[in-house]
Amino acid sequence: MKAFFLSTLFLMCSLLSFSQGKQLQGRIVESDTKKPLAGATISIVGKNASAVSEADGSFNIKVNGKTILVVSYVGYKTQSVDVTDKSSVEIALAKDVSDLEAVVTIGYGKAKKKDITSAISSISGKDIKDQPVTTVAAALQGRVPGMQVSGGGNEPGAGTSVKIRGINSITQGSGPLYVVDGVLITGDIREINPNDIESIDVLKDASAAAIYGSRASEGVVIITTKKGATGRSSLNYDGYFGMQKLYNGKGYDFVDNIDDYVKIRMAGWADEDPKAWSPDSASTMAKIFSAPELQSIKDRKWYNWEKAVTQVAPMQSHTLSYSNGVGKNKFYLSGNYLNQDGIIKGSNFLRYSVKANVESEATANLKIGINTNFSHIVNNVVSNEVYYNAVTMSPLWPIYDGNGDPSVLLTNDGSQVSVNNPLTMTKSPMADIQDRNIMNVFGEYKIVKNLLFRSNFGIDILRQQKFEYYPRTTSYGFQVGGDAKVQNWGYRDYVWDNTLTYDWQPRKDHVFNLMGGVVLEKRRQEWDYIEAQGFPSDDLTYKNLATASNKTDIQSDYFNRMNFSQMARAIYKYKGKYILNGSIRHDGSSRFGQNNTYGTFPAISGAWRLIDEPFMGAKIRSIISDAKIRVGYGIVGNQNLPDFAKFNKMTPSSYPYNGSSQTTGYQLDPSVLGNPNIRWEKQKQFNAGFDLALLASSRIKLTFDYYNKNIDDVLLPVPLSPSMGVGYEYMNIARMNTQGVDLGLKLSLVQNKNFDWQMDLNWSKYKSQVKSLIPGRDSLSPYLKVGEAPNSLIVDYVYDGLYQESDKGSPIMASQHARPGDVKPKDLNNDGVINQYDRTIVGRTTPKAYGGIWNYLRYKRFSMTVLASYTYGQDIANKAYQDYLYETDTRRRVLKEGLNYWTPTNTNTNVPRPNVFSRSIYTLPSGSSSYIVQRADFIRVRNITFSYDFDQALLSKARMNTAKVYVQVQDPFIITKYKGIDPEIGVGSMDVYPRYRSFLVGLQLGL
Amino acid sequence: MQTKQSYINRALVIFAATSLLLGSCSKQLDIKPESNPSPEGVYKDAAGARAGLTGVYKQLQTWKKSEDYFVGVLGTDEARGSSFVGTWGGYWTHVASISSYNSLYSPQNQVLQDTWSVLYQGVYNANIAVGSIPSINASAEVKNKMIGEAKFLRSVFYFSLVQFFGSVPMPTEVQDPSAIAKGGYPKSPVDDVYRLIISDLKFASTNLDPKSVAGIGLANQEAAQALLGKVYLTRGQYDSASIVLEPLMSSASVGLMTNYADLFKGAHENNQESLFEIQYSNDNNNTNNLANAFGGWYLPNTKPGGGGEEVIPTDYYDTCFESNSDTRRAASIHYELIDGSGTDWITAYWWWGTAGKPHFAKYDINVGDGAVNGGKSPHNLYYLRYADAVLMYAEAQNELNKTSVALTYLNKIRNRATLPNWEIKLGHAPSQAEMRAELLKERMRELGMEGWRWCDLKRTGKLLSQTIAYNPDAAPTMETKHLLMPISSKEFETNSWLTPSDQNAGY
Repeated sequence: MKAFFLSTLFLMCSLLSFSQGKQLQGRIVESDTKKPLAGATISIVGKNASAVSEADGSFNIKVNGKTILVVSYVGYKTQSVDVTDKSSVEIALAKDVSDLEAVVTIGYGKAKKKDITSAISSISGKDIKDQPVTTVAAALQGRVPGMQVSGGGNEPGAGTSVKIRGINSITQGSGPLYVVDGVLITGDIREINPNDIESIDVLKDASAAAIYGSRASEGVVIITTKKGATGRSSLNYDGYFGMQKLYNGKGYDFVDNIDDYVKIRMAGWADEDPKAWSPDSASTMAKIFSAPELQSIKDRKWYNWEKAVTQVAPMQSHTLSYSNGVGKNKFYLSGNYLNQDGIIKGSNFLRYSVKANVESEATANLKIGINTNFSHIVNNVVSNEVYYNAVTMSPLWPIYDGNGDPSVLLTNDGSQVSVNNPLTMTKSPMADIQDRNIMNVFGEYKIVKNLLFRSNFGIDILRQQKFEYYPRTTSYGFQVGGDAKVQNWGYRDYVWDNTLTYDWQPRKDHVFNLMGGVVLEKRRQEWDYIEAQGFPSDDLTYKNLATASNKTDIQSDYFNRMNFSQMARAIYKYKGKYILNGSIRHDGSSRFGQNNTYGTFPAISGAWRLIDEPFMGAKIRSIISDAKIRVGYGIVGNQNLPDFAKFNKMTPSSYPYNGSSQTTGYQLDPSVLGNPNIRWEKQKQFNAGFDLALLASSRIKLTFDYYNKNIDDVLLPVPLSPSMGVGYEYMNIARMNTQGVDLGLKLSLVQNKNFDWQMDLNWSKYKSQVKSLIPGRDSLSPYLKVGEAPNSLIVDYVYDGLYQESDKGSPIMASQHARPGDVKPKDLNNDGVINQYDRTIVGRTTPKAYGGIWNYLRYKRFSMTVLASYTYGQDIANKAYQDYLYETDTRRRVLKEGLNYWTPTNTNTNVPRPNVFSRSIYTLPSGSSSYIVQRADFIRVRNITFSYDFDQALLSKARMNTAKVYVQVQDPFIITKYKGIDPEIGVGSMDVYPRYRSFLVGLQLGL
Repeated sequence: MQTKQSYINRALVIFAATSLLLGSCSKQLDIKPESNPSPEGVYKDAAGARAGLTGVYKQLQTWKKSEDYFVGVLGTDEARGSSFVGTWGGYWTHVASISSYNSLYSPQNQVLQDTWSVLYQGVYNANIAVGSIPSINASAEVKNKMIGEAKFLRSVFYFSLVQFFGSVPMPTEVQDPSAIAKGGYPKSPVDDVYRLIISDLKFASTNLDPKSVAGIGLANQEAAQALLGKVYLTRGQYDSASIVLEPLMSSASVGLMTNYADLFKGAHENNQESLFEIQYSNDNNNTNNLANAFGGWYLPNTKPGGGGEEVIPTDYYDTCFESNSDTRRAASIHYELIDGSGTDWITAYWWWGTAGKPHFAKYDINVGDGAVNGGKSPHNLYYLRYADAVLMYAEAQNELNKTSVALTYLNKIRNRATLPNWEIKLGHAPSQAEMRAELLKERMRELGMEGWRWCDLKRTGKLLSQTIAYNPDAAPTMETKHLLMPISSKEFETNSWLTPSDQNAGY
């Protein structure tokens, strides 16, 4: 009580003392350089008083009691400072990186965002940090207008498919070109730790990407990793721990009781011959079911296979990084450990990566540096057969044998494994081990002021090993006494680029930036493969192939590849508001045909900064804070043709002339007929767009782009008819067009001290069309047609219900030898025969549009982000659904809907009569029909993150700079009508790895 | 200012130097495949041509190693699919339809499509050999022998194509540039295909070494003569057939083996009766799957492994032998079937439609064959053997109204099987019609499941009647259109010469 009184008194005294008011003296400086900032506005929260800083950065303002200053300045982050009880203050303003002054990497150079003339989107390291993800591609998911990132699978370590602006090629698409600190990367980038990323710049249109010439047709993703900062030491920890849980949404609803399962399996046999396989007879049962199954029926035992192979799986990631700048040397070091178990037992993704970036100003004119990134990945991959078998497995088979080992499910005669026990398969996953070194050394020499020579040498060394073992408890291993496969694959990519950059300002209003350079790239790639069978036991698995009695296979491959390029670029700015950017690249590639070694890729683009025009009066400026129009045109190439498609190849062959010992020789490669005239694909892309920011502090930012890409000389493996004896010849034969719009909207809905609500929305739409193929032909196969998007057609028979008793006697039914209850395809050309001409386009896999929605909400120190992405307008041929629905197999477990099968008395159904010989679908020569085509529109909430940032004042006591804790739910839910596992991935031959939800708890600390 | 100029000069020098350094690399852009030679790189000299020809023989081996072997065997009066096959789903339903001619016997049938493709891969490889060997560095004699081998093999591929599919595209070594633009070749009339086959075989029989001189396993003169005889027979040119087969009848270098059963034992591969044999060995990639496919590899080999049972004899084949004293019966069919666990299938699985039936024995793997497992048989397969030539000669003689000559040759085959002369069994001298029917039946007894049945029946106009009468799978479904097989739908998808009406009638 006494304490309360005293403190109240003290509080009142202090209030009294403040109410008298006083002058606060202050100074505003630029945070990095400590140079004074003149013209900054200083205001007091809740008061009308304000001041403007002088030329030396100083200001004076009258304060009274509890005072919070808000300092704002164009191009800098607005900052609020509590100055209660202070008489002088120095306030350092940090540059607002999200603003127009932010620097964008444009390929062999940098430019300010406001000077950009083409479609480039950027993601900062902070954006990535806010939403922890395991891979860089996942960080881009749903964030960049025009960029479609979809999972390659749900299994840990699965790759991602990245598409920029729709379909850019018919068959040669391999995703964008990645450039990591100047090193050109092909393939996946799952080795890069997202925490190490400073920024990602996505060059979407040809006028931006053309500086990368013949490799840029699918856009360029430039990744810049973190560097140290002068005079600032920072030690950061970033980690999370989480659990993943199977979640297939509505998923499939399989038969879940013994009676129904037994009934449908017997029905499948009775349909074949109701006398021999009478559904009511015990002797039929004894024939159909194996001894263990009969026992289970007797004991009423039902085994949950799905549960046996899945688990609640942990995942964790820890990154420790340290950066510092001492004098003229700056460095950044980091290490990451990521370990993700899969929800299917046996699958796992483990990554160690270490990174060191060092930069040093050796002399006033010379800067040298090195960036390195080493990673080691161990990815245990289980076959998709595991989950497929688990859901379709006879639930009457015991999971374990008497010894507690996974049972081996032999056929009745014991001669083979009738079906792989999925649990067995989880115990011998394929180990995919990968080491990758991406590094570069560079030197920058300032020859004279404004003239910079830069030489950069980069290497990307990838070594991938795959180890597989199929024990004799699996069907293949059983036949051959264990089977081991070991593969080594790897390459060394070298890139050496030399550029000269000259900044030239002949007169006040004219600014030039000129760049010229040469680039050499080289690859050496090797692959070898060995397989051996017949092991004395399964104990050593793939670890000692010498113990195998039969060394089955040895293969290897080797090649070199080279590119050589020259390039030049000029950027011209007039009065800072008219900007022109022209570039040209001349590429030579060993992959092109002898007659086409070199290609030239020019581009030009311009921007007009409307906002800087005098006619934009103050009134307009109070509404519009930025306005820019961009127009560009460029030619980029795609040289992603198979190496040596220009040559006819002979592949190894052998023949034992005397019936015992083989003679080796050569046979023609049956896949490709060489074409010496082969060349790159040429994409001519026009881009027009604008950037608009509205309201004070740019609360609404809109970016709009329209693009039109004409892709000529599209490289096609033109299918040769089987009678040619060879599969394809690559030809630059087709033309296609892709056009579309990308829309990005950034909203700062609420922004004040306590509450923040930001929303990013993007929406992209494109249409891709094949314009022409070989002259005189409007299709090269049923799947590739003029007027349709390439690789998007689902071609099949049209489902027309089931044959009924009343159809008996119809010629078509007779020609199909069909019985009532069989699937009825439509005779589209009415010729009385069902053959391939009755197939038609029954679905399209390309979406109409896609995009993302990102929300950031903050209340005081609590914040929440929600990221969702969506795609609509696409179909999936869900063959798995048919397999699960129709009883066409001797053992498969079917869906509950499948119980509603056709019988002479149950004719109003879509499920054909059950038949173990699949006879009810013999009427479909392809085995499927339009019945399996399903719409796959979806909105997928990718993650929801709640976080709390600790008070800086509190932290400073603990000598910390930042501290944040968060919880995150990944993939919390999806809204879709699609019936399969994942509308984003579709269906694989054995269906796909199931989906899951992850719940994470994370911590970010900065010292 | 001068210093600035010198700096700029220095910059230009550095830049020019690096450009030049890199520029010199541009010559290196001409990189050739380092792990695969080109056809020109292979066909340089005799050794290279041998390496290339090895690849042509390989196509033959690939064609016959698995289910494609059954095209021409299944769906006849001698063989049917086992009731297991259809239950394996997918591809296997297509295998089963080769036996049952159901609606999956269609242009999209994977086995028929594969047969079509693999035969043309053989043609493609043979064409390159025929086209490349003339310019290799070797003597004309060596070259002609090798061209003879290539032409012999090409005729093997085309002979099957034309019999199975009728009029077919006919690429030769002279490439038609318009073919690539149109994705293929137009169909050539049946007569043209036979003209090429006959000219190839004539060239081969003139230029190839006789079997006594030619290396083991190589195409030889006798094989070319026998095949030419078969082609003439198929064309109904009995005179020509008789003339071309005649020298074989008196040849000293080829003849019947004494013991029929020895023909199918590993120790007797490439024997005196063999005219041309498709070679397999225990080397990986040189094995075939037929022991497994006929479900006969358990006996007496007891190694565990995948026991397929895809094809079984029809009852007609099983009972066609005159008596148990026909030694071919025991060599062709076995009546016990023991699985890996020692269970006798014939009793244990009596209720399985076909499991209780006897199985085909010629391609059983035996202990000592050294097979790794039942799916990897080293057994050679006959393409042509002397007994076939003898029966063909008999057929030609019979059609030329020399039934008594035919009888002599038929009796040679019967006697080897330890059967008495046929006129004794018959009780009178056979008429031409009796002889014709008997020869057809004798061909099944002698050459059962060796790959010729479908062609034999078709040649003699009995494909429909015999199959419908004796193959219960095919009886309800077989019709006239099945005298030709459907051409692969993939051919129509990519070969723009073809229109839907080029498909064989009824498909």
